[in-house]
Amino acid sequence: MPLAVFGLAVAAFAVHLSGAGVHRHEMAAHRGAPTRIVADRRIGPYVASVWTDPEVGSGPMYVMLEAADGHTFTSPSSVRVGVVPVSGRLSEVLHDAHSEPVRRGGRFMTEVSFDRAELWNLRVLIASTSGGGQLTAQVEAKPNASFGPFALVLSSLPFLIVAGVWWRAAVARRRISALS
Amino acid sequence: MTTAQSPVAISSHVDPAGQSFAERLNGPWHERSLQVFMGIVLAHWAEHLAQAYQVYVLHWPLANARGVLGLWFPWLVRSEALHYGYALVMLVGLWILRSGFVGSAHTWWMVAFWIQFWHHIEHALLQGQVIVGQNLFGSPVPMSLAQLVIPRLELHLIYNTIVFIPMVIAMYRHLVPPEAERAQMRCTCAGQPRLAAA
Repeated sequence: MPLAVFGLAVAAFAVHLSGAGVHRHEMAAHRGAPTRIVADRRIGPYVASVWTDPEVGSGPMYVMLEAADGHTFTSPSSVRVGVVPVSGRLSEVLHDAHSEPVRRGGRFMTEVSFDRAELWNLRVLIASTSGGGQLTAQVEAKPNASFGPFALVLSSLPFLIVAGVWWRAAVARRRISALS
Repeated sequence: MTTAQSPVAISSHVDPAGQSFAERLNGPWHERSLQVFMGIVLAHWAEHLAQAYQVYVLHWPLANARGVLGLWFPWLVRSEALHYGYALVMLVGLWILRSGFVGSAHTWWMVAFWIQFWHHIEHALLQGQVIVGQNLFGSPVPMSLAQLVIPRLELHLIYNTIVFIPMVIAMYRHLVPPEAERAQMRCTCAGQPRLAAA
């Protein structure tokens, strides 16, 4: 029985690694799911949604495109994403988003960076043979790891708890020894 | 000293001869197996402690704070191989070592097992979305159900915590059992067979 369980575990691990190798960013289950910051906004012949993980640091930004009513979907020739702090302390950085395979519409991904927790202006520029345009929005970057320094306490607790259980068991063993 | 609850009476149940590997793991080897298992669990928590220390004491950027193993083998963290490998070890360990527990300790141990099992259902859901090429909830990336409620990276810590708590309660009830449960135990965890040997 343990060998069968072990064999199943090895097989599951192999399947997981094969998926993680091909779809690395998609398998990052604990990176945090992205949040939709722009929903179903019309840009030229497209309806666009923008998803990102609005935390300080680098992270993926996704532009999801579908054909607008009355249009057939043609893949854009370029999708670019620009971010700049509302405060104006930095100049805008434009990122080229690359296409990813999807069954319907288009999905474009790029890595963006928010270096400080503050309000940022976002621009998505789309160009295609059937038309294009841009959308603008604002996103508030938040401090990451919202547990904060409490994570240090939380990560220390298991050691204290196990030490407490071990100590209690040792006391119980001594008591049993004394009784016998 | 020959009553059902005495150490000598219990020691007569612990006879490695003729036992299968699983029976030994849950009998004479249960104490050592649980120590190894708990060592793995604490090593994992040590990785989280190291990561928290890197972020909040050393003030490293989150992307660079990869714990200890992640510093030497970054792909382990990037590919989530470390996380998934650990989740599997937990599931297998909880399952294989379950029958050594009796009474309320067994109940708590199985609570930990089923929570960990659900964790794997979530992973299967993620894996399935990658294989089918269609994500749930219109998300650009595969989504698990728990991410709908806890959509941030704290989900990992929360899962580990809610598995760890019933597991430790089970260990406590196993190491310091009520007399009625002590009489049913086939392992050395609560100390009886050593007394018998002495």
